[in-house]
Amino acid sequence: MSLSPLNKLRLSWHNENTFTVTFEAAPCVQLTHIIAACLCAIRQCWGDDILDGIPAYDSLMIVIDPWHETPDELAQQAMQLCEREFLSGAVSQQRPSEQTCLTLSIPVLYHQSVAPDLRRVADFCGLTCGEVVELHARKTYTVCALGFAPGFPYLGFVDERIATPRLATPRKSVPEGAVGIAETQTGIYPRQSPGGWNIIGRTPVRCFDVARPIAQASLFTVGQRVRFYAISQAQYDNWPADDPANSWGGKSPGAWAELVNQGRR
Amino acid sequence: MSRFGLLRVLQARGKLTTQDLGRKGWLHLGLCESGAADELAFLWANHLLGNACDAPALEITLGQVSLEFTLATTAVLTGAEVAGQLNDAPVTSGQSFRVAAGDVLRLSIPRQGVVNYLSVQGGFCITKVCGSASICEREKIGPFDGAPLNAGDCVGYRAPAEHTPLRRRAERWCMNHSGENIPLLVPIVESVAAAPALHNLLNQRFRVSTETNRMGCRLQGDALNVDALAYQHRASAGVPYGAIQLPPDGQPIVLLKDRQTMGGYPIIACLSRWGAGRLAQCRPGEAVTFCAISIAQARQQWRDWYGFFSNSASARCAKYH
Repeated sequence: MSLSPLNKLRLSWHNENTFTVTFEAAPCVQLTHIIAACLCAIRQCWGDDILDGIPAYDSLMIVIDPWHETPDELAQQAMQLCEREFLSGAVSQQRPSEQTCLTLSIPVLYHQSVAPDLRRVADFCGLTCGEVVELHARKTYTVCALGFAPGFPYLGFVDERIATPRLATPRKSVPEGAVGIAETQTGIYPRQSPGGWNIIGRTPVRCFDVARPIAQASLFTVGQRVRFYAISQAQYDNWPADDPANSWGGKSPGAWAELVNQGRR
Repeated sequence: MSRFGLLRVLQARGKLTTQDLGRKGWLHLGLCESGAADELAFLWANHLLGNACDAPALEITLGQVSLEFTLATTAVLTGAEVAGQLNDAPVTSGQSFRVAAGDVLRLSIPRQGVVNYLSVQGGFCITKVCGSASICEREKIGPFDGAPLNAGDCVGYRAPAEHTPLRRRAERWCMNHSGENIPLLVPIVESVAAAPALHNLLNQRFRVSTETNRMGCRLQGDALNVDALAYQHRASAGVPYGAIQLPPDGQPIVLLKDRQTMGGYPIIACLSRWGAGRLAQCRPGEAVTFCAISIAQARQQWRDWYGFFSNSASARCAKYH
């Protein structure tokens, strides 16, 4: 943890109704939790006047209703709110959601048939494929940002022993569910798209679906804690289409917790 | 019971999408905003028909379409300067016109500008996806499976109970489709690294590159320099509408409605919302210059325009969406 209360915050306006608060600190899990808490607090304070908010590694972009009467005042107060969150978060040295947030467990088939870069990562790191998988599945990650593609989670941070640079030339197509590593980040491609991350496995779980209600469209939210666990080819092939993660409609919270617990074993 | 008409696409060599004012409240999940590339022209289309200001319209990129109406209504075309014909009669941009069942509207390539909006009285009936009728081709999200319309596709509309009076936009409101003096906001907290680049941005003439689309507009000119330090250890961050990104090659990219939500390149300045709409009307090869305005000016401009469109018969755009 490298945060200190001495770090500074910076407010910059972009256009009529968009500003960013930048936290001058090196990205870390603790900072992610602070920024997620800032966005929550800002939404609670101003409700519908906040049209959008994009939390990222060391910044928070806010889009406000252009009809808002006193945008500069709002931004100043939002900034002060962020400063308070930052000070208390940096001082307490605790991760707010560690106690309050369930850890999401994501099943992954780590097999070379769906992991074209597993061998490459192993060679680059001087490890066996098995060791790469073990190190990847051993850690608990935090969603530091969502973006690039809808629902793509930037997960921080992998064990340094398996940190691997992006491919020199990105692939034209990476399949939905591909699990990748880029430097110290790991992530899941929510749909087929081009991409340059090292693919080391694939999940049968659907990460993003606009057919779900907005609060559930994305499996991930910034600050969410995530683990991966290995499944077999047979489990992958037979992963139920009505898995709570695949169809949320009408599912009880219990079914969801079951998925979470299943991964906790 | 109101009758239902269809606008049938007979030919689409330009790009056809449905658009409204875009998706609000989805950026945090990585889903882009989308919406009319030239918001002002879009608002005019609905205004001239007495529609709600965010009623879905058809966005036509670089003309070259034939569209057939199956039911009588009133329609309007706004945006780029284009030669349009309803059957054999010329259609003037910014002037609403009556349509009879079976009429065919044809557009050639615009003389100036890029996008046109076609709206009908009451707006098109389009199922919203994530709160918006906008098609985002890049993300494949929106109605019509997020894909542009092709020959054979149909968009529905209701027959109006009574026809709205024909209206035209007054001459003084004619759109400026040149790329000269596009308004730009200089960041209030000016980073030292970006200062020379900003100076060059405001004092040269750029050309719009051919690699320009709804996502962003690439500009070509003398390379702008940002201190190399700005590229090191920079974490990806949210990207605002109109942001001017500077990749290491020094050729700026202005991010528009279909932009990605996060980006890693330094942002040296940002266009005003109207400025970004004007840039979206600039053709590849066209010259572009920028002029700095204050954020207070930009906000006043926004309020003036939206105040104007809210005073129409349409529902007030009180909440922006």
